[in-house]
Amino acid sequence: MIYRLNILFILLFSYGVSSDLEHDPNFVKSVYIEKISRFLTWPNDKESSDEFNLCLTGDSAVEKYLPRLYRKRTIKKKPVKIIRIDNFDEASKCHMVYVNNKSINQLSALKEYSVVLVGNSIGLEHKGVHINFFDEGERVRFWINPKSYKGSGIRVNHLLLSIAKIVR
Amino acid sequence: MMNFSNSSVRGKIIFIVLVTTLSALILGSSVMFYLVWNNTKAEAIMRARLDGALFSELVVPFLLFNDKVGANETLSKFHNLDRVKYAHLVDNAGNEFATYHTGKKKELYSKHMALDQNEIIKYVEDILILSVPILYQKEYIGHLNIEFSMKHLEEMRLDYIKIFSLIVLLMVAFSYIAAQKMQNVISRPILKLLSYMNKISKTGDYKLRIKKEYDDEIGKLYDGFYGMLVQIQFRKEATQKAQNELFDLNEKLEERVESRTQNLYDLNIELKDSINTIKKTQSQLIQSEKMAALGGLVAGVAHEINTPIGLSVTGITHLQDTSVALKRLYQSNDMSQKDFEDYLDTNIQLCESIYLNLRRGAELVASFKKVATDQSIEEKRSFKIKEYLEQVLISLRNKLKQTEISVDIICDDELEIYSDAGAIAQIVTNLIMNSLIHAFHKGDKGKITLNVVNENNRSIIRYSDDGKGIEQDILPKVFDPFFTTNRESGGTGLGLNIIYNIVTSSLGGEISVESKVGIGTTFTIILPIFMDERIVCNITEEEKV
Repeated sequence: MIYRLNILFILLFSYGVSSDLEHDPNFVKSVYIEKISRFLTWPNDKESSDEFNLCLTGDSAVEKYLPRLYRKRTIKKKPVKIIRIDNFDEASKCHMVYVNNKSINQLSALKEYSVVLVGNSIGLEHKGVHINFFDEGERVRFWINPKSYKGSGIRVNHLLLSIAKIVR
Repeated sequence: MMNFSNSSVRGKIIFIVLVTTLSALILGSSVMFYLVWNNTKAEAIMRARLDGALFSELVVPFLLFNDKVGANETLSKFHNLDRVKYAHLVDNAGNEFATYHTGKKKELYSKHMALDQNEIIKYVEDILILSVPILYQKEYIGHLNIEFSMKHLEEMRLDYIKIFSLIVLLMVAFSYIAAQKMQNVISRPILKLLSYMNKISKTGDYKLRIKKEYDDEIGKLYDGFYGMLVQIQFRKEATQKAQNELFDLNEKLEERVESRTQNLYDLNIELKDSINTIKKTQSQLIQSEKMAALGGLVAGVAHEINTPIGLSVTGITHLQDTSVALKRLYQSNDMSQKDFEDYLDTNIQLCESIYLNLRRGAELVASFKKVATDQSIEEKRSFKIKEYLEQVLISLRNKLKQTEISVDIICDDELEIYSDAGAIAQIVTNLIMNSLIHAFHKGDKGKITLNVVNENNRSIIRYSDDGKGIEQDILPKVFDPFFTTNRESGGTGLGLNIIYNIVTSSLGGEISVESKVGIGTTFTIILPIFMDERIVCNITEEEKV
């Protein structure tokens, strides 16, 4: 039964499910958020929370996919709650914050929280974002900057590092 | 097929060394190869599993992020592992996700393997197929099939066989050389000893010696052989000496034989003379015995007759006295009628007494005459044996009277035998005299029994006394001539020998003796029956009844 559900999941969340969606990098990035989460470990308080809080700041291209994708799906076996935040003070409750260029200047305020920062613009990996998506041809790839999450209590599985481009 | 037991020592040594070496080599190598093979195989499997585990983990993110390029790049790292020939990554839906192969791409053995959530290890030809399920956080996300070439195992086996063959060849060569050396150590001194033995056999020189090289078992064999040679030499010399002596003896033997032959001839003549003398002496002795027996008989007769004759003389003297007295009375006319009647009564009684005594004397004389005549005349006749034996006893009565010995004759009154009566008388007389002299002490009470029967055309006379008996050690000698235990009292030792000769020669019978000390002695005389037809017929009729 589990095996069959997994197959269904893959069908739904792979490029092959819908030719329109699979060619939309933002959809792929929306899917990747869940997959990346599998390789991440938060401090105990976050890990033991009942919900997975996925926060959005400013305008985000993935915003249109996330609610629909995670309405019934889980991340780390928790129901996903999409939260739009305007103030980074509210980010303490988030597991992951999807940031854009406009909110990048406030990132220093989030350093004291155990929050994974995910970006979607060129160069954000050098500006404090932990994981930054980029397009490589038709492929969606991402940068990881280990220095940026150092001291945050967040641990990244080496397997995720093997697939990402690492900021040196 | 060569018979191992008949092959040479050299061949046996070489064979044993080679077989032992090869056996040890094959056994040891087989065990070693088996262990090495198993270890190598286990190690290869362990490495394959480690590689499979590593790569199945490495491809996890690529599967999750659907990164086929990254997955292919990851699988391409298999080129660092020479043994991995093919790799095949499928997603959880069973779709091919990435592949890796060396050389020309070919159909994978593992492509059609049933996917299983457990690790599968399988051998196909010289390929080790490892099928590893890829799980992440307990979720099945794909499958990695890897094919490892196990040609190195086959190559190892071939290499091993080559090395083993080379070692075997070297060891066989080495063993052969070692065996040759070994057999040289053993067989060379033996062959040397053999050559030495042949030389001694040809020359006969048992003093010849060769130097032994070692003091080992073969050295001891040399020592033993030398010891044997010393013995042979010693015996040879002794034999030679004995032969020389024999030769000398042979030379002298003829002279000795001639001398001894002459001596024997002379001795033979002397012996014949001696035998003749002995025969003559024996004959004289027998005659003397006969005379002595007759003398005894006469003495007995005289004694026996003396009484009736004495009584008759007394009677006749008394008759004469009474007659003279009566005559005087008559002449003096004093004779009364009563005197005459008394005289007549006395006369009748005396006459009766004289008659009886004279008749007794006449009977004795007749009896003695018969016995004496029989003893002097060797003539067979038919006679009643009981009556005859009683007559013989009369002649011995005088001797018997002086003892407490009684003689019983147990025999049919009418039993007649046809034999030499004189010989029978002499036999019985001698036996009784023998018993009186040897079987009883003076004053002993005793009993002699004579039992005569006819059985199966034989007359059997059993003479028994209950005297002191004869010792068993001298019993076989009693019939020997001149054997006596009473020589100091004048015994000649011819009594029983004469009986033996009479029984066996004159009468053609047999005599045997049995005796027990303290119980008595029994002589059994078996005589063939020589009866006239009338007696035989009578006996036959009696037997019929």
